[in-house]
Amino acid sequence: MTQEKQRFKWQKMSGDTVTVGDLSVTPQSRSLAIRFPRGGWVLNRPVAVLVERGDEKRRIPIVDVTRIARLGLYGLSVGMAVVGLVMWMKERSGSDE
Amino acid sequence: MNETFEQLTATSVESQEQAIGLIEKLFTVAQPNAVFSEPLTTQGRTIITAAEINVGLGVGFGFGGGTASASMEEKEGKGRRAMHADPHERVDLEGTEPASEEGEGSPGEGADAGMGGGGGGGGGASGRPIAVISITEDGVQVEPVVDATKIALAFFTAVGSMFFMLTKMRKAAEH
Repeated sequence: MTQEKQRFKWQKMSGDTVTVGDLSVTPQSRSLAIRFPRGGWVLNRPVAVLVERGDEKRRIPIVDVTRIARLGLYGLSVGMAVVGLVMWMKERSGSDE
Repeated sequence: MNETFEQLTATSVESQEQAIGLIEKLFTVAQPNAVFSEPLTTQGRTIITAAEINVGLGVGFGFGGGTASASMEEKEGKGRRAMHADPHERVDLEGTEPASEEGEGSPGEGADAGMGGGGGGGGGASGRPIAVISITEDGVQVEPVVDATKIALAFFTAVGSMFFMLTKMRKAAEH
């Protein structure tokens, strides 16, 4: 029986549960796996932890502060570069006339 | 020569199978155990670290064969001339060694052309800490890990872009 291999897999998975006293903590991660004919690429990052105490359940998200800050700053850079490029193109078209 | 070709082919196939096996191992990184560490308990506190993993891998192979370099017609022609000649007379063909009495072509002619093969691969991996999960009897705390170097680099990139934009704005205002 041949196993079908997905070329693109984007999934959330739960890890092994850790029990401390009456607390149960289950980590969750999200992975992106792309399969090429002669290679592959995997990106895997943590997303949250599930905390259970008795009947109480809580989901604590794991925030990647560095990623958010970088995305914001690089997004700002790209935005300003685009504005500057547009102004340069307008200036150039104005000087041609 | 055929034996060498077969050996090379077998080695190439074996290398390709090993490479494909390595690629399959790559996808084991897509498991939660790869980003979360084993819990470490110390002084009544259990610590689990969380990191982002990024892995890529690629391989490539190529192989070629070869055939007799001399044309078949040329080989058959020489063989025919050697067959019809006096078996006791040695025929000296121009640019070649004398034909043998059996009428075969000269030894050394029509040798197999070369063969080639190659393979290569490359890959990269990176890991970055994201957070530290601290578990005590009181509760669970998730403390993010902030990479100041990466943020600083992004900041300076933003400053450079801002400078570029302001320069263009000033030039536009002057005109």
